[in-house]
Amino acid sequence: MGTLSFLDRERTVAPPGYSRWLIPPAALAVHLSIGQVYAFSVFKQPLQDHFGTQGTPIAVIFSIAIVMLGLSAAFGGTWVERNGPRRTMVAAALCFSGGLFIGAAGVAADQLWLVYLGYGVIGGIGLGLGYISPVSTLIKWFPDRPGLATGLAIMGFGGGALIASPLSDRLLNTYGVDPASAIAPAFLTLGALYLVLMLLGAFVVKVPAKDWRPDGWTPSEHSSGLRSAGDVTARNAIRTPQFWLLWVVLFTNVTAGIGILETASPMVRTFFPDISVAAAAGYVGVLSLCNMAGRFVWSSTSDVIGRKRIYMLYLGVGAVLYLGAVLLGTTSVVVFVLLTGIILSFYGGGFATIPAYLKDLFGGLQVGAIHGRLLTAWSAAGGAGPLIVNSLVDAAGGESGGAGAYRLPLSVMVGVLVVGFIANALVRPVDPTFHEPSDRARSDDSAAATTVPRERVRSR
Amino acid sequence: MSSRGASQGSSRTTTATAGGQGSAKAAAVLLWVLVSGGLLYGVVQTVVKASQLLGG
Repeated sequence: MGTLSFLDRERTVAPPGYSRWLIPPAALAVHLSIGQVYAFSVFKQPLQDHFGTQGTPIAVIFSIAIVMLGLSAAFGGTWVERNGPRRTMVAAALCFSGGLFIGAAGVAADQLWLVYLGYGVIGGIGLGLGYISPVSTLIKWFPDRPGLATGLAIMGFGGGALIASPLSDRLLNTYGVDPASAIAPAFLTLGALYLVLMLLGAFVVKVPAKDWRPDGWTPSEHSSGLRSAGDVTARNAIRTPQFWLLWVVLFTNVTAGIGILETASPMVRTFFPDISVAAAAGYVGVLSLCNMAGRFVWSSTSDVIGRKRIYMLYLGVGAVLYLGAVLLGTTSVVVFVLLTGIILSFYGGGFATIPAYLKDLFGGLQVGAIHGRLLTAWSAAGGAGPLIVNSLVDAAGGESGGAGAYRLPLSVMVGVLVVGFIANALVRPVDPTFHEPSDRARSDDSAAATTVPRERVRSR
Repeated sequence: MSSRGASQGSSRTTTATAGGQGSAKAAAVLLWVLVSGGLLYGVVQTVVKASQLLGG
């Protein structure tokens, strides 16, 4: 009991003078670890060979993990707010690493369902809890630059694949005579590494004291632009049109980006048939770098130009770039890589900027829980994006249809982004009747949110 | 507990807390090194792979 009290939110309050720059590595440690899921494709072929099955049953593992990410973030958000970042990070570490360990047992025992349960269900819960756990903490430490703060953390999720991909490849080629026989020890090694890294992050993370503020920064007492001076609970936030407009914004931005990501390798080889398999893998690497860099660069930029404007850039310029890929994509490799690279940087930027956008609109009281609920848009887009692209490409004759097979799906994405652009344009400040009474908001902050705020009764 | 005992207990707690804060700071610095090193490793590996795209 005494040991577990170390995990309590009250025990994570930083002493006076504690540097806020000691907090981002804790967030990065968690996000770099769970970002491994984006490198799952490295295990796809070895798993197919090991279980002697087709691609679909193996792809289900990844799909379960992503669905569980969205569900646990949506339903666990309030628990995360109540229990604080340290307990949540420990729970995320145990789930994510435990999922890899159980997955290893499933591979060793030739039981695919155990891999579904381990990597998919339990690991997926770890993904969701880990994804949202450091976000609201960082926003509290960087109230003057929330975009930079969330960009730093969420950049890690994009960067996780950059590390896990070559590392997993190396492990698979080290532990066995062939990759299929090395999956279980590779899972065990990754699970142990990520457990240590994530627990170290949990040990380091701290929340700021009640009235802590960055030097020289004074919070505005009044609402300005979209920025609200009041706080809205997660339960009330989902009753506002602003929440659902942002849901559409995130859904459209992710749908457009993930459509390219999922099909990047075959797409570039269809546009440019002379490109080798290795060069196509290089193209996927370029997109991953753009995805990661966009998370930090664009989210930080949003602190300067504003959240609504940056989403106009992501969605408006993104639509123009997609159109450019349709009309000019086949002219040269450089043009194609440039266009799609910028699109992917907007995709990453959209992920990283959304928590700061939510903070502007709904205040910081339960931004983590609200963010968790909004991530259901990610789960939905994860299904919609690849479905749109693959079904339209197949209808046009598949890769044998040449670059023309991609014209319609890319054009559809232009329309998808225009819908998101309109939704973003419609975002207005939240009606103050949704705000918590200011005294309640203050007391919740100081009492470390040990109680769940009651549902706001609206009288309009 | 006597006031002296309480004082000693408080002093021990303060020392332990200070020690805990010190180790947390050291762990944070170590974590900066680990995550930066990890990211650098990932970026370098990716750039090497990506160079094949434009280098043929």
